[in-house]
Amino acid sequence: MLPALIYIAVVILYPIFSTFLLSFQKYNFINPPQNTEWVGINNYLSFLKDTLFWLSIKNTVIYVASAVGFELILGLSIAFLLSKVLNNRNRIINSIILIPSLMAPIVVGLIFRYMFNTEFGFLSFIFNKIGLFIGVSILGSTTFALWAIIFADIWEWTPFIAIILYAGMITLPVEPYEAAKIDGASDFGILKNITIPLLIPIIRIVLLIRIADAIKEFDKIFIMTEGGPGAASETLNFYAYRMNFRYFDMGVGSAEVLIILLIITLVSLGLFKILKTQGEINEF
Amino acid sequence: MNSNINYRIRDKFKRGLIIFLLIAVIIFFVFPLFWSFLTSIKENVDAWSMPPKFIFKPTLENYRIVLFEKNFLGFIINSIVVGLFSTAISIILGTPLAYSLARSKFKINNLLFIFVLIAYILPPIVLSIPLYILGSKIGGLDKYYIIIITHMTFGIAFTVWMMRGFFEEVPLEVEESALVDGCNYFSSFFRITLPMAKPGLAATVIFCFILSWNDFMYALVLTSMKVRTVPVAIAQFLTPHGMYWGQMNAAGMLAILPILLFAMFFQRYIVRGMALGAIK
Repeated sequence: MLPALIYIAVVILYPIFSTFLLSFQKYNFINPPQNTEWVGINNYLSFLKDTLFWLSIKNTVIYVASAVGFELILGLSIAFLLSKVLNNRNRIINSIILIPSLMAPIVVGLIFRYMFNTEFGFLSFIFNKIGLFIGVSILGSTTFALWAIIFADIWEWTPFIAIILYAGMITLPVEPYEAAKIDGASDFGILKNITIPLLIPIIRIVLLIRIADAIKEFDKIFIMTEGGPGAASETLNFYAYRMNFRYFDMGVGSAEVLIILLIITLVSLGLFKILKTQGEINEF
Repeated sequence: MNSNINYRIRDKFKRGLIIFLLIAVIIFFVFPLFWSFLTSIKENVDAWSMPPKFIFKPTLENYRIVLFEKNFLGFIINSIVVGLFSTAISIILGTPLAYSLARSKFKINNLLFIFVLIAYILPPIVLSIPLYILGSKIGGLDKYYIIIITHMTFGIAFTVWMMRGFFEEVPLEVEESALVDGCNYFSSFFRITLPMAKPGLAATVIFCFILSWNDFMYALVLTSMKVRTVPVAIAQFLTPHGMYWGQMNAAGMLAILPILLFAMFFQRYIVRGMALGAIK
């Protein structure tokens, strides 16, 4: 057990520590300073004053909330439909439908960049047919670019949520359902009052995984819009990437990265704590 | 009697509606892949035609160009090397930790477990900065080992997370009786416990490999031409070749080919892996 712990400590704690130190220094990678130059919290102040930082926060919130929200609602609906017509896990449907969630996010981005292409894209073609987005480049529009990436994210991750919730649904005890049937409850009533409450532990785990992933989202943004046009589809993670590896201002960049780390850690510890207090940690 | 028939008709109608909806759902999730595949076997003229063409003369030319002229064969080999090594080392280092977390009942275990969770969800950009600076100082950029080391961060965390669950399912009595029969701790682990957790181990190996295969950010930041992996190659390919959609889609199809195979043969384990073991 020790080697793994040492590895994690060295490769994870040391970098976090050195990022922390770096975030209080003036450090540009292209032109590294001869002596360490401490600037206190100036790095933090400098991006807090940047309007693009606040735009990226706004975009991140929109991205995480809408993508994960839609995915949960759609995933739950699909899982419900599946549980209505299939008696046990259907391997074929599962493996077909899971491909979007398993494939490289970069390929998801590639496929949707193509689908949204103004001239040859299939989605643009369909939209134009029904009179939408005529003469508009969806990925080149400040209003729609972020939503196009959210659309791709929903396509990528809804199957994952659907299959996991479905797998959870078929392991639920049957007694409450029989009782509800005798009482003449409607399908929707059963879903709302029995299935969803029983699924809460699984829903939490799914939310934990998805929210942490959505905050980290990078690949699809990189390949679909590169954060553009301007910074219209730039999330916090992408903003930090640009600061570090385009401008190579790693002092300020480190400070931003630590903010991301803080947000993700708080969100997941929060969810983890809820799980633990309810004694569901063993289910994990 | 009459209402009974009515009910049955209604039930049939409802079932039909659900199946119709599910088929629509499946088409929605499969169509973009299907379309990408079609484009990958089209000639440029067909790929660029509007309205989109469904009937055309298929060609494998795009795949030939991508694999041999654009060197994707080399990128695929890079991805496989990185994937195999990071998976193997992650399993070797992570399994003992997972086992001891599953078996010992110290209070510190929960803390360690949270630690592992954080390692798993850690945004790649956090490690990228110090490793980039360090790598450039020691000349480690664009080397296999630096990318393998970064992929091991999530590889080990994932292994610990998954294997702990699988080890907990092996009943303690089996191990105890092995000890009684003259096994020591090591041989009971290797002869009894590990074989019993074999399906879980297979799932973990596959998933570690997929995680490494799909990673984009570490590879983007820490590699350039020599050890470039497939996802980075796809992203770099896009900018100057934005118009060659046939070739782009062929590259994308090559990148998801292993995933397709895994999804077909190991579907059950994969569901469990994706839910971090939450689903049995």
